Amino acid sequence: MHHPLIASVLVWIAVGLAIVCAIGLAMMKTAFERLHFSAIIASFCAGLIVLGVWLDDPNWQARLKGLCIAILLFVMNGVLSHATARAIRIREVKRLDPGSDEKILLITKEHPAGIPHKGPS
Amino acid sequence: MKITMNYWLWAALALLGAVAPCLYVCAAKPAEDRLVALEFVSCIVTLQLVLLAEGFHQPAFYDLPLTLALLAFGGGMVFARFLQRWL
Repeated sequence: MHHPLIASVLVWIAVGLAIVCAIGLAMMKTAFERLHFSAIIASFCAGLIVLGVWLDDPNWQARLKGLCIAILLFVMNGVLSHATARAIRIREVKRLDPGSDEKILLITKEHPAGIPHKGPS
Repeated sequence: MKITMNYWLWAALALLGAVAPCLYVCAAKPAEDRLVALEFVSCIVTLQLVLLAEGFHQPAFYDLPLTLALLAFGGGMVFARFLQRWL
């Protein structure tokens, strides 16, 4: 299976996506907004590049290592983003739970439209 | 060893364009934004090393992005913890 043309198209789509995401990262205002952009790199871009490797390279060592890298990036990016968001939240407001002044809606089975969250009980 | 440019190497070179906005964020924004940009750029550099390994036709070079992906995760977690507690 050797498709260099398809592989090159996939790789260039990934590169374009990465550059657009990097520009988006620089243009956002808060760290929480910026956090979202690394998910696209770790999922779409990594997936496209590894798919390109699978299509272009017949070597199984390269294919498997590429797949391992894509899976690692995909799984670890979620964990890392969560940990980072938690750290930023605690750093900014000195607590993790929402306060009563933050106007966060609590959605339950009894109140599917949401009721104001009163803060930690 | 004579190296001819192929589309993998050109793509690795073009991916440097995605590093520049992160450098700006790391240089000009507060600590939280810097951490996010650092995590972003570690993903970019991992993919860049994959492209270079493929461009040079050296499967052994794939060990480097694999190691970087693992270490970037550990480093990011340590930085996040540090930012939360002490910085």
